[in-house]
Amino acid sequence: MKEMVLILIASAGVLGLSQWLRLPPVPLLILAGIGMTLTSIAPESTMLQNVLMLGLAFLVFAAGMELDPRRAGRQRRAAIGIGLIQFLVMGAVGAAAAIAMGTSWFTALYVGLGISASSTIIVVRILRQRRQFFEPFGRAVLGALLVQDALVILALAVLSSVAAGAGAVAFSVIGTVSLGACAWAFARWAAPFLLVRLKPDQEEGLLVALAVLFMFVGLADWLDLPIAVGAFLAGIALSSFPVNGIVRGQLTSLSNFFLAVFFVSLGASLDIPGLREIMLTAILVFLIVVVTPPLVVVIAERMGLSTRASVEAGLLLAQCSEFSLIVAILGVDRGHLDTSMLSVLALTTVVSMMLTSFIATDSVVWKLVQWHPSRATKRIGPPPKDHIVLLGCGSNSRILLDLLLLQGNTVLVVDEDPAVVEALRERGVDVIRGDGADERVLEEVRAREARVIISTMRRIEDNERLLRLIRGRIVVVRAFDEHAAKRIAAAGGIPATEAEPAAESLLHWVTTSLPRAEKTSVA
Amino acid sequence: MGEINLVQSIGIMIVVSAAIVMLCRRAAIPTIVLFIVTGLLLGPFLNILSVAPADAHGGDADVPGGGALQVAGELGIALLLFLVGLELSLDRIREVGRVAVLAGLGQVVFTAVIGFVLCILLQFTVMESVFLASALTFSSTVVVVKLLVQKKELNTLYGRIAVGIFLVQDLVVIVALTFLAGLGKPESMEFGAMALSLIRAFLGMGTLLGVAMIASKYLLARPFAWAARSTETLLIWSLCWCFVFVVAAEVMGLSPEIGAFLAGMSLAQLGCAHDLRRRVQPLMNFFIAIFFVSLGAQMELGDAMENWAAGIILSLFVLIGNPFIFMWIIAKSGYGERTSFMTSVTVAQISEFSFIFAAMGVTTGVIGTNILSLVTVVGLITIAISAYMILYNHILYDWCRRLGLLRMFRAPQHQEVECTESLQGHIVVVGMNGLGREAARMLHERGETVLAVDTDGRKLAELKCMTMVGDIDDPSMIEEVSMAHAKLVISALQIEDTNNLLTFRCRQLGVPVAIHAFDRFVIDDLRRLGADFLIDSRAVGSVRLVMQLDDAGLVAP
Repeated sequence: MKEMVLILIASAGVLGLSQWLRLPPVPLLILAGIGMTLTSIAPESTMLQNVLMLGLAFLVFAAGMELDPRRAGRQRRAAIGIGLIQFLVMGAVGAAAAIAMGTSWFTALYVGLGISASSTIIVVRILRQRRQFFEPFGRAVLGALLVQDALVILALAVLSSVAAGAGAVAFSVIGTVSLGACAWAFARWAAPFLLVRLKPDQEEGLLVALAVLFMFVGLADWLDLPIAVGAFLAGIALSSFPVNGIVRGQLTSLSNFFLAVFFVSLGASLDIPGLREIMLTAILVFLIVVVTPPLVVVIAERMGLSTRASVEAGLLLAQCSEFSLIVAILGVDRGHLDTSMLSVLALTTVVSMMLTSFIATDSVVWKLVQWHPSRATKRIGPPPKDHIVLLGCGSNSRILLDLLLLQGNTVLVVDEDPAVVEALRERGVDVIRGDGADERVLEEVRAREARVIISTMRRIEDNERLLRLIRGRIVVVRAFDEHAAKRIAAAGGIPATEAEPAAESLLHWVTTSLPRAEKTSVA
Repeated sequence: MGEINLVQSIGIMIVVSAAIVMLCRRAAIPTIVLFIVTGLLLGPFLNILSVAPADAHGGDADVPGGGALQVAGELGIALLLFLVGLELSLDRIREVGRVAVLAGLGQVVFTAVIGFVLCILLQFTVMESVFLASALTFSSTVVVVKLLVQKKELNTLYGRIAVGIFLVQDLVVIVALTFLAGLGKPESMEFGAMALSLIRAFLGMGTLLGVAMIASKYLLARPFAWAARSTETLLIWSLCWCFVFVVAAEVMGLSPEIGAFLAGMSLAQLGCAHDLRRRVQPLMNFFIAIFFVSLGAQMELGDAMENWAAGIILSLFVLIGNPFIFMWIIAKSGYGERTSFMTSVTVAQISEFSFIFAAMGVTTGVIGTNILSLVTVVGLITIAISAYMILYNHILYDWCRRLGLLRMFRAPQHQEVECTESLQGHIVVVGMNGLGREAARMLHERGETVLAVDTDGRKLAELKCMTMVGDIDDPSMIEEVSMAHAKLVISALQIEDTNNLLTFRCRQLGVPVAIHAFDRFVIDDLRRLGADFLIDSRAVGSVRLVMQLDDAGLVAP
């Protein structure tokens, strides 16, 4: 009990710190655990081992539950491309680095698998903070992460049996596939029945969800598969809508608790690394930060993302996944991996995750976009005059374009989504592909000579940049609420808020189709 | 099966109890009973789980797996009492303080004395009778509170009195434990040592209470308001606060329950307490299940059949005698008949401490294992039956009243007023972004009853309508906002998953729902799920924008 309290105190302190410094909590939690080892107040190891296994199960379970292909939206192809190629290339790079540092090939495979994926926890946190979930690149990145999570788990199933020969590999592949089939069947029939049709109360719902988790973990254990495979498939078994939503509400605090405790215990169970381990860590971090961004940029552009979106995706994905910890723990558990390698992978994860908060920023993105070699935008016809520039014209702004055209305006559209550009071009709209906050693109569309510039770009930072670049013109910026409107106005733009007309439309619907309040209104 | 590890044993517990709970849904058996049955099945009957019985209160067992399970069980109890503390502020407990002390102490004395006499009459030795009587005396805080939380009647008058009584009893348990632990070794039976440990317990209680009160008044409000910006930070901070108190209580020789309760109480005044309660509840459900299953698994039923007659007589004594004594004391204190009855029903079982008492007696060699199995049988019977009694206490009351069983107590016939009004015909607005705030304001001005919901208390601060902090994903929020009785649910959120789930739930309840369709991409899903109205902020925003341009003369002539 006292040990539990120590771990909780450490995580409480760290969470406060991470909120204060706006740093991601995961690396800090692991560091706190390491700190506990250094000051030798770390709890004894059987307790840590137990907590690690439980936490691991919850971590992977939660990831499995998010595995819904619809999350990638229209960017499914890009997501699979980025996810798969990054996984393969980074895996090979990591393994090569490990072999070069003199590890055995088997250890090298584990190291490669460890750095082959990017961190869902970190990226989702950043996307949420910046409200970028619905941007094309956000969807692509999210999809790529899901692909990688699944790949890591599959690879782990294979890798854990490689030592026992080809027969064992075949057996574990068959086991994984049949367990996967069970999960699919469960998601299709059993889960909706148990969790939706029967309408269980809170306690029953929680019990059923946890029972599914432990059942799959038990089955995986019985088939001699890593328990992460079972937990992940259990997550998939509960990933269909609305089951996942119902379960998520129940499990949030459980996974909050177990994850915090998991990361601290992990830190507390690490060996103090030697010079060789630190060298290997440094090399791995260097490779992740240097190789991932260009790699992702190349793939993402191929898959049709704009330059800037590709650069953003590349920077965002340049870190090591929390799944690498799971790979390492299970490797150690099976006796395939030396405990020093657990320290290497954990440190790599910590350092690369911390770096992400400094690398994946707007200013770095713009700098890299400027260095990007091929940025030629397609020229459009003769330079227009007295036109309206519409920056950003995704499906949400189509109605705006239609209204403007209907009134007989000359409209020039800038959008970064190739699909959008293609569709508009087919309709005969003047459109160029590019970023509305990019100086050169603005020059291209003669923004300075335009009558009005309308921006529907989501990010306030982009709009502020736009307003800085073209001072003195009439720029109307779409803003969701008062808060955004104030910032736009402060930067010299004319905000057009959506919240107010939207609320009015709602009120209109309420008045026409719902009965009025029974009590007499005061006003 | 020695090699079973923690994950495996928890896994088995959860899977089997989930199966049993889901199979027995129709029978409406209290889950506590089912958990204990699961434990019995896994432990004594099938021998799959071996849980080391606790040697003393809060002590650590030597068996590795058993130790971790015990920690999990302790976590469950602490979280349960933490929840109780979060629900009851000190003022609400103080209201019932007098009757709680009176009834708590009175019942202990009466039950102990009558129980002792009864045991002597049943031809047990004096020593056996002492242990049996003390085992019969205490009621189980965990069982009762769990049921009250489940029934959502913790905050009723009778719920508060019951909690007060259990807190008093918890203090007495500590005294009794010290006393009984001394019975085996006469050298520690000195009066001085006893008095010392008593003084220590009361000093500890005073210190903890003082710290809790001062902290809740002066220290906690600002840091916790800051932490509440992230729900994860808030949860971990509160758990940390709770367990620091638990450990402090143990160090001072108090029960962890008291520590957790005080920790909860000191957070009860905070704005985030309500939300926190909902977040702690699933954690508690998980750990308390482990606690009850391990409780069942460590029951010793060995030669239970030998003493079946004594078992039944003692069980009847606890099931009928205890409530009888209580009814008498509480009705004397001027509470209404209904409240007195409801409170009395809660004490009709023996506590998990009773097993510890008996196990302690066995280890010190003053009683035989037959007494331990007798206590176990009485425990099983009384916990199971009283769980039913508490769960169906309203029906039971009407019965007893009709049969005229309650007339002899001459309790006052007035009814204490309970505030159980729930909202009806209101409009729930979820997500206080610009749209949500605007909608809440407009609807409020139109004279509707509006309930605004957000996870961030700061966003609710300046609203004139009713507000509630909470995550609408959380299933218990459905009841708390009384969604089934709402005339409209609106979500202004820009979170796809939450909106979809909310739409689905409203459809199930048959409540009209308007959802913010903040992106083309989400519209199809929402339509398919049956949203009644989509707030298409982008489209209406576009129209408004063009109108603005038109007004400014900026569009083509």
